Amino acid sequence: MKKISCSIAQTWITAYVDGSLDAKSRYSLEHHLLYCPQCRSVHVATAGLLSRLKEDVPSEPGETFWRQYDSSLNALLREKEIDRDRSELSWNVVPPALAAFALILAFGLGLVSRLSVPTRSLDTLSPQVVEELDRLYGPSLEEEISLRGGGLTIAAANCDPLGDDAIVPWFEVEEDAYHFPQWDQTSGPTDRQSSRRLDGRVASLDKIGSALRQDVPHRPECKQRLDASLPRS
Amino acid sequence: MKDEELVKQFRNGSKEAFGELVRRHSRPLAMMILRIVRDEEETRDISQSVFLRAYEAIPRFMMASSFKTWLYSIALNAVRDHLKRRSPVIACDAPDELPDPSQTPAEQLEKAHQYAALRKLVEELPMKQRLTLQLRLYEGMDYTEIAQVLGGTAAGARSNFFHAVKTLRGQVKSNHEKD
Repeated sequence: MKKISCSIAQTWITAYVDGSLDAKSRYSLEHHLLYCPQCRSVHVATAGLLSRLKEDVPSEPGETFWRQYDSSLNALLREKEIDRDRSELSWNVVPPALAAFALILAFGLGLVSRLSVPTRSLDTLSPQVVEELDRLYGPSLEEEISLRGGGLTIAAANCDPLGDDAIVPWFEVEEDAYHFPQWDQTSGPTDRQSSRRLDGRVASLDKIGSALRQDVPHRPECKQRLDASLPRS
Repeated sequence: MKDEELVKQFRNGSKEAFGELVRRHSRPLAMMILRIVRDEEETRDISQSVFLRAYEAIPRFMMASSFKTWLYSIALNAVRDHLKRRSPVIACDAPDELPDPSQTPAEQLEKAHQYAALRKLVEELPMKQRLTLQLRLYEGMDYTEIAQVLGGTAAGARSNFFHAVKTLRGQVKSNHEKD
């Protein structure tokens, strides 16, 4: 057995009392304590201290405490779960909301660009582009003809009297005041006190056709094309 | 079912899994906190904040240690923060346990004073020594576990325990000599 000094013995005493000293060291220490009163007093003091510390523990709270503790903890966690569910829900809503917003934005931008195209300067565009724009958005100024008859003034686009293959893909109708009583039987405008433009695409094509045929005898090429392209009433 | 399995279930959306973890650990954790802070109201507040933190942090729990160790390390951080903020407890607190009927009132009073004085000395220890001492004595943790929950090494935890006991022993002796 290895003899140990007091300083080593006193270093080991805490671990010895604590129960964490290995067997060999424990044996050496116990032997040392047998003949060393100074280290023995340190051992007694340490054992007393740890014993008092272990004794001085708060007693377990009563059932009332645990009931309140459990219920308030459960309530807090439920609240937390609700918060988490809400946050997950809002994250689930974000992508569709963004998609809807993007769609609305695209539609809005499309509408704006559609409305703004006819105001662009056509001089800078090639004839093919002008023709395509006319087909889509309306007439270029040179190709517009104005026809009157039956209480309507019809501005027809691409009804070219020189005879290319344009038909009437776009037209505007102005309703003359106090005329064209047929509108009363249709879903057409009822305020005939005013004269205004109608979008040709919502007017009945056969009405437009008959009005145009009635008023284009001085433009036979245009009439021919109207006969070919517009329905007869 | 193991704690780690419940953690996985909770991560996969099972709310009941976290409820089960709370049921398993809430009382032992509260008792550990109570033994350190010695106040039921504060224990309740700290313990609740620990479970709320765990609820939020569980997606980041890497499972490098056991769930219990991870939970206790959150708790001890909260306790440490709390003790730093809290003003020291008055030394003449009454003892927490019931009086020993075999002792006279004078002896009981003397013992109460001894406990209160000892508690004050423990509170004055450096935080890591204090927590190491309390985890070792009250929770029966070994030094490896203490190192895991408080940070550091097992040898460091052992050293902290040794220094805490040595300091207390010296101060108790010096108080005794003054009396």
